[in-house]
Amino acid sequence: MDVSNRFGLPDLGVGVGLRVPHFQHVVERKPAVDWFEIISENFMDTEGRPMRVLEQVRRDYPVVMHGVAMSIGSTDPLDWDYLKRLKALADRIDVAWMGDHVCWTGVGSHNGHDLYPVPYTEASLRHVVERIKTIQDFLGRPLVMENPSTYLTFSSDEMPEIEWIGRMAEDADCALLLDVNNVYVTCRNHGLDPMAYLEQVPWDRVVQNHLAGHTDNGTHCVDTHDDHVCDAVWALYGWVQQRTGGVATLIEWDGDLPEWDLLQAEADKARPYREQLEARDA
Amino acid sequence: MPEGLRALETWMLRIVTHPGGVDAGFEAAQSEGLLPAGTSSLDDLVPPNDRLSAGEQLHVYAFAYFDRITDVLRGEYPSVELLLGPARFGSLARDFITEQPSRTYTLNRVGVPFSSWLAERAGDDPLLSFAIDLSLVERALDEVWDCKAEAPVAYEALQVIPPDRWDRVRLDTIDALQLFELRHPISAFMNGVMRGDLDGVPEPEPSWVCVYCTLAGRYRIPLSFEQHALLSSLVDGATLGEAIEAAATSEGADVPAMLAGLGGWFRDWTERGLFRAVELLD
Repeated sequence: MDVSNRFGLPDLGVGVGLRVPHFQHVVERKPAVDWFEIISENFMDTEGRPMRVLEQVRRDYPVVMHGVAMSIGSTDPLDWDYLKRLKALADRIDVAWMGDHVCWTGVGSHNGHDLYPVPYTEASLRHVVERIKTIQDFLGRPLVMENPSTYLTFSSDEMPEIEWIGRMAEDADCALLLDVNNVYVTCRNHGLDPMAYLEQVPWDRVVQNHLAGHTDNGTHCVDTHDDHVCDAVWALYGWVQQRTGGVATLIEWDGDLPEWDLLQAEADKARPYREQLEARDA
Repeated sequence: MPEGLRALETWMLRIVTHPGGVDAGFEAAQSEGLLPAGTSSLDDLVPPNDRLSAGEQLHVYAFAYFDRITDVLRGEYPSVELLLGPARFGSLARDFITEQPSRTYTLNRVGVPFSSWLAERAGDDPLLSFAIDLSLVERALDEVWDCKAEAPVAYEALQVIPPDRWDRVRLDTIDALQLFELRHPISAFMNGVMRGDLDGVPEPEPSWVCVYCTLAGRYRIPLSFEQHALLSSLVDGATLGEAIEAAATSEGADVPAMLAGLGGWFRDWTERGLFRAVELLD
């Protein structure tokens, strides 16, 4: 496996999310994908069939943990019960890496269960960096933080998102998951040029890509994970893979989850972009 | 903790989770003193763009808040939704989300209090009264899913126990088992839901149900009064002899039918995997 990032994390190839409707197919057929990603919270509190399946899958594939509830940007205290469960699962499954999103999910103990945007300010940057450092120390491994899809900006913003994320990664010494669809959605929503965004990504910190479908409402796009990856995102992905030299890639599909064959076909669409790299490097 | 960030998260969550919508949320945040000094409109907080106003951008999150959690409730309580219809279920879900804001990090537990919340508001509404029973069973189907999957004892292990030792034998039930004594005959209705073939709402009539999960899947089976009494005693730790005696002496028990059925019942329950151990006392 190629390693082109500063963390020495491998290019796992092309993976998909492990979802309940596909459990039986994955366990029985061992389909031809390179790795699986799990939503961390869906496996943290179970000793039942989900855990049995995960353990079986882990015997055959690398597994990455991707959470939605760390709430790194929240001003509520860190949830140590949550973090202990997270660490226990990571250790139990021996995951390739683990991460979450640049966002906050609630405040005052009220969880909105959404990935709310962080205001891109110096103060929020210091706050998030300190929390990432604390969590990384506890977990004993780097966090892989994902750029969000956002649907608004704040009047209080002091810098562009990608500048803020780059500084966060540098100051906290964390890794990045570059969600190419999120770059597209965010840039569409805020009238930005996605290529200008990508030009500022600190590439040596990127260890993973996400690809997903979104809903284009005309006035704005929403990151719905319920459709094929659009052509424009594939084009950006091709550029990103060239720029990174190839990093682990995951197709996210959650809403209107298709039959396995369709999901795998979508994942396989990523392979030609990666084969171009191999041909280039040969 | 950066106070400005805390304030921003507090007003944003107040606005996007307000049941009356973004404008009502803004008014509430303003009257509660949550907004930065000098704020006179949403535009002061979120810059409008050439396609969406500040309110429309915030509405993306406000819509997602209720929509996401309602979807979770629909997934956990499909029979309740079919009973009440999507409009009434959606309205109830919105009230539930507002009155019971999530305090948990996982969407998997957001719906836990739904049954007790329904019970508080059911009054003498016959549909809601039936919905409570359905919700209890549907909640249990989710809970047993996450219980430890255990290897069952074989029926042969029971067959070798002579009747004169039954008072010294304890059958240890699996954790993934829940028993219910209900006010409505839910089984036919839920079977109809699974078939997509609803046949009206039944009149109130006591019923007994067992919900369990094994490596093979999760199940709901109807019980007789006597079966429920017997299994309940076993779950509570009674010996086999004590459980049989307790069931036989329960008011209204059909003792001859029970004694005639005992062998078949235990064979069925053992083959279903409801017992994880046979313990011979001293």
